[in-house]
Amino acid sequence: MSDSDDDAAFASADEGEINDPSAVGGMATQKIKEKKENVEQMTKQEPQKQASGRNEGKGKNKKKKKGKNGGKETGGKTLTDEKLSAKNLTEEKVVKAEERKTEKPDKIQSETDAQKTQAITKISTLVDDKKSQDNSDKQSDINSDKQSQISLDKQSQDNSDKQKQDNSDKQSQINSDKLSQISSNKQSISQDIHKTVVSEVNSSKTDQEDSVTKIPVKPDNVSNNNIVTESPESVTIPRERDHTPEQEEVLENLTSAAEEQSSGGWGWGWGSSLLKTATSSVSTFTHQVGDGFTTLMDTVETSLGAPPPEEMVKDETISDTEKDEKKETRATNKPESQPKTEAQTKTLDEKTNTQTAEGADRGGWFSNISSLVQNTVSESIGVLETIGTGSLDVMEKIGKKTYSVITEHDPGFRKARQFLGNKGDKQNLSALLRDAKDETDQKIEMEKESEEARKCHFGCLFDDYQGLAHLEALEILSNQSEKRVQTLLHAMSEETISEIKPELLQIKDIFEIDENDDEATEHDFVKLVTDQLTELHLGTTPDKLNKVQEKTRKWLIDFHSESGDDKTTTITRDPKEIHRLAIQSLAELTSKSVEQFHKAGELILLQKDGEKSYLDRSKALAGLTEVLCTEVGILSTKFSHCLNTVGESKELSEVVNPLVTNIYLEATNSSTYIQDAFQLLLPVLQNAVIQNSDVLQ
Amino acid sequence: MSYAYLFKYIIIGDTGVGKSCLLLQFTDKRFQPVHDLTIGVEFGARMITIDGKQIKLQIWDTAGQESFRSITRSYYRGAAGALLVYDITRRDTFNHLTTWLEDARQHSNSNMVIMLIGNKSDLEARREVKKEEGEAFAREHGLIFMETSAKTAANVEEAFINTAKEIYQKIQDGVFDINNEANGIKIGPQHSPANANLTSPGGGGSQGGGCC
Repeated sequence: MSDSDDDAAFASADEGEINDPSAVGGMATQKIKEKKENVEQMTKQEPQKQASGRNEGKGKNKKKKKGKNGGKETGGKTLTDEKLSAKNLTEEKVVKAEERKTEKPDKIQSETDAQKTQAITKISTLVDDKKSQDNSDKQSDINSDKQSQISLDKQSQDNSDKQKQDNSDKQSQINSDKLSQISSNKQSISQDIHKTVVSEVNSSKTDQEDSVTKIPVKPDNVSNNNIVTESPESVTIPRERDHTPEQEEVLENLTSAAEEQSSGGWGWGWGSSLLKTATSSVSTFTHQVGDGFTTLMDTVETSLGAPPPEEMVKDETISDTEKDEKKETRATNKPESQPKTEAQTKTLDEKTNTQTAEGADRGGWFSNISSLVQNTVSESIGVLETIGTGSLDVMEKIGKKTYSVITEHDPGFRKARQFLGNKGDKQNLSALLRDAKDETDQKIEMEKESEEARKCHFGCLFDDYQGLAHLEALEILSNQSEKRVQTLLHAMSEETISEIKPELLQIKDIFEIDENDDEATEHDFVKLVTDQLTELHLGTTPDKLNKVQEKTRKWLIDFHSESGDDKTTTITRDPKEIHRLAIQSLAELTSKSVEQFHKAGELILLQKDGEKSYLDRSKALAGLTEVLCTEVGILSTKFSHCLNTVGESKELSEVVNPLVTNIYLEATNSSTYIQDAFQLLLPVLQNAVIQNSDVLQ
Repeated sequence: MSYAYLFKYIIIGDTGVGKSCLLLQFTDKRFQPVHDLTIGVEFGARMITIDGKQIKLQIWDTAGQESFRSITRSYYRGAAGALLVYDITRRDTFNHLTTWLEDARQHSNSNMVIMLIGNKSDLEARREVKKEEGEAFAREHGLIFMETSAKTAANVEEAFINTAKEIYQKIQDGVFDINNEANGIKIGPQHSPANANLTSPGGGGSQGGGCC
């Protein structure tokens, strides 16, 4: 006999014993006694069988389970003795026990058996459908894979911890719901188990069905009825025997799978330990659940199978008042379950003690779970007892309750599932952070580059050297002067205009410089600039311009002398450095040039001495522009030459070429700025000419 | 060195009050006892931070000489802030404030923030203008007032930054139209400014100051 079946039989026998004094028929009493003896014999033998079939620890477990049941028996005895309603319930149980007992000595095969089997199949399909519906509902939320079971177990552990503190009925009811949830989950894992359960339920159903059909005919002959109902049980028993190893197999698979996981890619130390604990607890827990399950199923059998027919019988025989009485007693049945539970937990504690010897680390955990299981089992019994009017209703209620518990009372389950299932997210998060860091690094790098680029950007440097501001100020002057010239010319008579026009046109001609594309030839910059400024006669000194030019030239001379003396020092020069310096020099020179023109413009407007003609000043300014542009050309050529020297020696033409191109481009820009600044002076000079002309006075 | 805003400042006041020294102290954090006469206008720039925003101050340091007045007036236009400086050791520079203020008000936009600065506060012994007088003048004309010393750098930073804060506040209040460059405010380029080509500010004012 298999464990579960054994337990089931035993439990039934217990129940029968409990109800012994209050048994209805004499035959029943007798049979019960016989059965009891039988069962006792069986229980003596079976642990040994188990021990041989499986490991010893498990056998011990089973023994303990029986011991527990025994405790239950004694507890139940005293309690149920006084209760009238218990009769109704236990009658059925007695019937069951008898059935099982009678099965073994003699196999009754009759026509009714065949009929019943048909009925069974019909009902079983019905129940199967119903169950599968329920199950599918449950399963939709209960992830049938191992992880979810582990998390589930973990949760029940949590719950059991909670229960330790507060062992209220409500909570235990939740736990019972959870147990049924777990049971259903278990069903989903092992279809065989499911089948067994269903068949068991079916058998109980058939019992009911049978009694429904037969009891009205022979209401008193319970034992006869029982004998008849043997056959469905005999159907289930071998099945269970067959499937229990399979059940075991499933569990083992589960454990091994979990262990594989734990040994496999689990990144977290605590995670793996948690999983191990979970795994071990799964195996033990499932055993317990298995045991509890059979107990539960028995109770289902007894509570679902028998009472309804009994009630039906009673409905016919017993008056309404008696019914009410029965209800009352049923209500009082509820508190009974609690003393029962106490007895159960007592025995369980014993069991736990031995188990802690096996695995000290999970001892505390285990007792929690065991107590939880016990509580939940007893609670579910209580629940089932109170509910039990129709088996389908019960199943429906269990299903609904389970579903609601999963959805409402078990939010952590989802969390656990996510936690265990989406460990990939962890990696994603770290990857995300790494990406963010890289991005920031890149940004900083880009900022640095842009800062570097700024240092090489002509426009930026031109602004930094205040060339832009001077150009802006010069533009203001130029624009104002132009407007003034227009206003003055409008105000002047034709005669005065014709008088002043030649000078204005001459100045304009001077300002039209031909684009000099000739190769810039070396010149004495300082001398030429100083000469032009002296010619301008504005009191401005070429200090700033000369300083910049001298500085740049000195660098270039140093560079060439270095390259002449020692080629290695030239090689070490960074092309970018040369480029940066070239652009810097050009920008500075251009800025100072624009500043010079700006100052000249201001002073031209202010100085009203007629010492120098505006024509000469214009020529000087034009000359200055030419010198500055030539200088820009020479500098760009020289810097490009430096770059090419470095590029040749370093074979970095790919790096150097764009830099050379850039230098030439910026040199063109520089020349453009200088010439633009010069052109801005035309209105200023014209304005000065008109204002200072004798014609105006 | 990108900035959120660029404010154009002008520094005005009688010659020799220390305008260029104030600028030098602000931009270079140094003091030159003897400074060349400013021709027309000189420039200085510095980055400051207000309310977490980078603001570039483009300062136009005008010549104080009377002869340059006609030219410097044309530079007032398009300034967001003005530092009107007088020398506390020279009463006449204080007396000329009204003329300067009128000039500034006439040739700039009405929203321009003006900071009255009594410079050379380090020369207490030679003080001719009491601080209270400066305060009273500022109060009377709706200016911000501060006594500074370009030599000791006392209040120099504060003078420039407080002016910038006032301008910034006006921007926040919507007084300044930042899109109108004639207000002396430019929105900073997002990055490396494009070729600084001939970007003319709102300098094309039609009614230029009398140039004669």
